[in-house]
Amino acid sequence: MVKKGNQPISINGFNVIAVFLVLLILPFSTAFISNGLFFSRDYDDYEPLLDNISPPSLSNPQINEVSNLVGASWYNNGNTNYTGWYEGVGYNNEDDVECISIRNGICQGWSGGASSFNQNWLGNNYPKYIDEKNRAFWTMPKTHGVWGSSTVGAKYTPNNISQADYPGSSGTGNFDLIFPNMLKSIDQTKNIDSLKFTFIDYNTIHNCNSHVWYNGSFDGKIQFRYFDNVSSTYKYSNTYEKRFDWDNKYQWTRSAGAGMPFNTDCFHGIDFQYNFDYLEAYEIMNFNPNGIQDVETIISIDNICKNDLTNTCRLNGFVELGFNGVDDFIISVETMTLETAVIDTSVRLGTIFLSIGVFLIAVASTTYWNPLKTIFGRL
Amino acid sequence: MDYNIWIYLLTAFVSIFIISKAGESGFLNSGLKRGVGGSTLQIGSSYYLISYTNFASFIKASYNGNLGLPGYMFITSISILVVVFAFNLYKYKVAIR
Repeated sequence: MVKKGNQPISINGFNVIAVFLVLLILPFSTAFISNGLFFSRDYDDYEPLLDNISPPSLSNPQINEVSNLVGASWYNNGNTNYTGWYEGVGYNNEDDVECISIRNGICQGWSGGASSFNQNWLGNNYPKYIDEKNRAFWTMPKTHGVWGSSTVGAKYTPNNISQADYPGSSGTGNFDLIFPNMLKSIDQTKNIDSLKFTFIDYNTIHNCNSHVWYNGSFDGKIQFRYFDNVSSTYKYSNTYEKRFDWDNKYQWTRSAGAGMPFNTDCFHGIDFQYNFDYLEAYEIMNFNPNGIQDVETIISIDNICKNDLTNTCRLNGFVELGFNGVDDFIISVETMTLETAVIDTSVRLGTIFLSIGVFLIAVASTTYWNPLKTIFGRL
Repeated sequence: MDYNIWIYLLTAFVSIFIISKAGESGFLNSGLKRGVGGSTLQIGSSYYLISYTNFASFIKASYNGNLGLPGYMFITSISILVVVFAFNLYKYKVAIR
């Protein structure tokens, strides 16, 4: 291929450079396709979710109550069962404590009284606050609560736990929320590009300067599922997971309603923003044959670490992140969308070009075709 | 199924080739040095591809059919490249002819 002697590069040198280039080009090419570098993206143009969804229909709640919910329900609430604790402080009615602990969407009943998905949901028909960015914030009970009544209707209005009864933690495991109908309002021609969840503990205003604020990191996961009528089971997507930084100082300008004044204060709160790459968006887009609109979203926050002098991890239920503690908190969900045709074209065409490129490299590595000789031999 | 098998094979063949050529040039002139150098190069390059790039997830998505026909085309092309590198190394002692 390249003659030794007067040539500036030996055949060995050429080979080493060539294989290095292959190893470099391949990951760059896949990153180029996955990150959608054909099209620029600006993570600034979020649209609110949850706002345009009709109120829930509870006509058939015994089958699967969560599928009827507008907003969110706890799916795992810290993986620590505080049922015994609450029994010890006086909550001795079975119905009161049946949903203190929730594992994979199932209430871990006090004495076998488990029922699914009837705890802690975001279902008000109006938002608690509108902020200066016109985002709607909805009320959501914290990680666990107790019921005031055993009637089905009352189960949708859980009572808050008093500070005196709170065990001091909401659990040391993962905190998962399920949003069954969140993606229903997305246009049929679009697919999610980014999801942003904001949790704020709106009950307590802190001094922006003198309060001790923290930052750290956590594992954030997003998974999707849909109910497959053929197999009568849930189909789960891949889990999309990253490590995120958090800072619980949330300076926020909000109004309590139309015509009400806007006020700016500091709260405990965090943003959990997941930007999907094109490869992930393409997978999500094709996950459910019926479309993304019928897909439920499960988000998970785990392995919460604090960047202070101790640098401790696994704090989870002990960190002031908005959803821990007593009372309720507020949540906002926003999305950025992309045209499905853009994602589809970008990933498919990119992969086809890459496949052809790799195939040509393979053929050029044989004795049957030497592109360098073909190109430079004529010069 | 370990989807990283393509990466392990590709980096292994590339490492074998580079280290053997380095040995011929007198750079790594003992078996021990070549062994350590080759292992380091293979582990380092596969770790780089798996941990710091999305090459592995691209292969996984292609293999699982998430990318449809283009994904299968990509898996086929990568497989052909690995086979060609292996054959060239065995037959001609170089990765690219």
